[in-house]
Parts: sequence; structure tokens; C-alpha cells
Amino acid sequence: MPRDEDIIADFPAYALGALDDDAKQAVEGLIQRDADAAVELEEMLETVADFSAQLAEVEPPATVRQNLLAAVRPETGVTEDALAFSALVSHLEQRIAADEVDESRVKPGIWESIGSVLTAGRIAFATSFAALAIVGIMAVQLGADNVELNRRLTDSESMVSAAYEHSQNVLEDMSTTEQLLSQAHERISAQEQQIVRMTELNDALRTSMNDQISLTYATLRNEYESAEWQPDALLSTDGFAYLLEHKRRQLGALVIGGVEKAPHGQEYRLYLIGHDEPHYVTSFHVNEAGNGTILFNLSSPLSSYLGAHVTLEQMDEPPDPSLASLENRYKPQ
Amino acid sequence: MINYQELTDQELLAEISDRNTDAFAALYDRYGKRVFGLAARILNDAVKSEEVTQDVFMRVWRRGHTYMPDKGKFTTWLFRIAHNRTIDELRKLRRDKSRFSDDITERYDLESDDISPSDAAVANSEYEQVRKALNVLPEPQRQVVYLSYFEGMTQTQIADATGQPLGTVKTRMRLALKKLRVALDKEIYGDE
Repeated sequence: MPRDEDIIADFPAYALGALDDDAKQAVEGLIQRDADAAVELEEMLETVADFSAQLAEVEPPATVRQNLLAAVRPETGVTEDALAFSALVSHLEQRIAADEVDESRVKPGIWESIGSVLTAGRIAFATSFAALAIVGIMAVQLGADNVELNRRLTDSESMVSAAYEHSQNVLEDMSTTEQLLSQAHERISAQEQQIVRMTELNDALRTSMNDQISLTYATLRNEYESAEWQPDALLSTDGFAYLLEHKRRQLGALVIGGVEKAPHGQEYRLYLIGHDEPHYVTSFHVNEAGNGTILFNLSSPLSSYLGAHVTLEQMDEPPDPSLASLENRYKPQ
Repeated sequence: MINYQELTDQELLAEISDRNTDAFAALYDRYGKRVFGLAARILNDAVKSEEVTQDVFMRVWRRGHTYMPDKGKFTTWLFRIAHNRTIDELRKLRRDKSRFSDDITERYDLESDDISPSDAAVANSEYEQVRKALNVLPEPQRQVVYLSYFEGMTQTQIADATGQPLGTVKTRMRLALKKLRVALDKEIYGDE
């Protein structure tokens, strides 16, 4: 467990990002329990931040901003489809709330009316059978109530009809929303496919660039240079071959890739083409991946040759430069 | 209609916490160039610098609510995230490069006893670029700041690489930050 003063001694390194994880955690633990230390560290962090801010501004490509905004917009849900859906839900909620209010106004009125009619009937029967006049009045009253009840039932029917119509609208709205969501889903799927395709292309390009860079790196690091007359080293769309020459030693190198491994009993042979007969240099094999780096001695500089020639020949036969080269010869410009 | 450019950093952050993309765009417009410049200066790789810049601002978007104004300035918080993220990327690139170099040595068997001085030349060129920013410091202090801030080396690595005792490295870092503070105050606030 480091002492607090040892941890405080690490503050400048913490501010400069020069601590390993354990020491970083010790600093973060200390400032949790020591307010003065936290202030001291904050001052150093501020110094480094101000220093960072003083470094020259560089305009990033516009795609950085576009990518960021494209990334955050889905998180807010602020897409047109989402806005439309949100508005629809809000609208439906308002309509349902309004309907509930209407129903609450109507229902108690009906039941109160029925209840009052029944109560009135019971009282009438209990009071007197003889009171025909009263019965007559009650009958009239019941008839009036019945008319009122019918009117309210009619109203209710209208409301049910309106509610049905409303539900049809809701269904229609939901169908529209479903279509919008479906379209959005299709767009997202298409974009995902594009991203996958772009990623594949990017990976292929990166691999290709890495191959080129690694060859250049190896060439320079080991003090080789490519032959000046080598205009296009490609064997085919898949294969490649480069001839290199050491800057100080009389050494040559053939870097070859993307070719098939020689069949049993056969080998590749390299010839350098001079002004006279092609000069047999060496035989070689490539590895399982079709790659090979073949070093050979040079009796004269590569620049004194006109080109190179690689053949696939029987191992027990003498070299025969007249055989066809792999795809093409390396010719001077 | 809000003019987001006129809002303070903290006001923009409050809006960002409410998922306001316009405020987020305004904050990016305010600091995007500096964050990208910082990453580009350290990484010397445009593509990686773009990735770092995007990561930094995505972190602001997602974790902006964790910034506590009473603990320090917003720019301190932002540039600390940016520098840490950049250094992480630098260290990752170094690891990849190291593996890459091993692969090359295996793949292209062109071993030579001599080492090309190109790496040293590149390092010198980069050093020249930032030397100006650090020229307020004496060389020993400048060296430790350069190696930590721009090269992502830990103080232990610096001690190993330069052959200085760890305590000396720590002392130089502390002195360097003090001097930088004074110089920055002059630069920013015009202090005497």
C-alpha cells in the first residue's frame, strides 16, 4: 500500500497519462478521500488540458461530424417515423380519454333514471291499489320515462357507432404506422448490408496495403532496392513477384506470392535475361500459401539485365529457359 | 429559436443530457478541431484520429451527465478523455506495429545486420513539430513531457529509456507542469 505522499508524487504523471493502471487507481482512490489532494490534481489536469487546447486545431473531415450526428439521432428517437408514431399515440390517447369522459357522463344518468323509475313503482304499489288516478299518473310518468330512456338508448347507439367508426380509424392509423415501420426496417436492413459490404472492401484494401507496406518495409530495412527496369511486377490479378537488389552486396532477391505450389517432381526456376541467352539463376519452391523469398548471388548488377523469367520445370531435366514463363516476363520499360 | 453557439459549455451539456442533437452538434463545432488536432498530432494517422474524435464525442453524448462542474472545467474533462483515448490508440498501434514487424521478418527473410535510420528520422521530425509547443521548458523537462504526453510512455518506461532514476523523472514532470502553467496563464490570460 503506497503512502499518500508517494501517490501525490505521481500526480504529474497521472495528469500526463504516464501511469500504469495500478498507480492510476491509487491516485483515484486518494482524491476520493482527500479534498486538498483532489484540488491539487485538478490544477495539474487543467494545465495539461490547457496545453492540449493550445495545440494547433486541425479541421477533421466532414464525415466525422456526419457520422456522429447519424449515430446519435437514432438514440434520441427523433426520426420522422418515430415522430409520426409518437404523434399518433398521443392523438389516440387524447381520443380515448375524451371517450371515457363522455361515457362517464352518460352511464350514471341512465341507471339513475332506471333506479328512480323502479323506486317510484314500488312506492306506488305499496301506497294504494285504489289510487287509480295515481296509477294513471304513474303510467303517464313511466311512459315519459320510457320515452326518455329510448332517447338515451338512441344516443348510446350513436355513441357506440361513433366509437366503432373511431376504432376503424385507429386500425387504419395503426396500419399506416405498421407500413412506416416496415419501410424504416427495410431502409435499416439496406444500410446494414451496405456497411457489411464496405467493411469487407475496407478489410481487403487494408490487407492489400499491408502487403505492399510490409514488402516496402522489409526492402528498405534490409537495404534492398527494386530493379529499375521492373515496370510491373504483377504476375496476374492474384499473384505478384518483385526482384530486389541489395545496395551494398552482390545479392538479389525474388519475392513471389500468389502462385501454386509446384507439383511433385517439378520446381520453379529463375532466369535473368541479358543481351544474349537467358541466364539460369536458381531453382526454388514456394510455401503452402504460395509465397516465397529467394535470395541469390548476382554476378553483375540487375541493371545490366533486360528482364527476368520464371518457369515451372521438371526437377530431373536441365534448365530450359525456352519454356513459357509464369504469365508474363518481366521486361524493361 | 435557440442559438446554440451562444450557450456555454455547461448549458450545451445540459441540453445534451436531454438528448438534444443540435446542442451536441454545436459542442462538436466548438471543440471538434481541437480534439482532432490533438489526436492527429500524437497519432500522425488521419484515419485513427477520426476514430478517436468520434469516440471522444460519443462519450460526451453518452456520459456527459457524469461531468461534474464543481470538480473542474469542462475542457479539462473533455481534453483528458481525448488525451487518454489517443494514448490508448497510440499504444495499441505500437503493439500492432510490433506484431506486424515480427510478421514481416518471418515472412520476408531479408535479414540484414544494419538498421535503417528512417525511424529515427521520423521521430526527429515529429519531435521538431511539438518542440515549439514545449519550448518554454528546459530540455530535460521537455523530454519527459514529450515522452509521456506525445509518446504515451509511462514514467517507469521513461526512466528505463533515458537512464534517469524514477524519482528524477517524477520531479521533472512536476517542475514541467508548473512551468507550463505559468506559460499557459500568460498565453491564455495575459498574466504578467
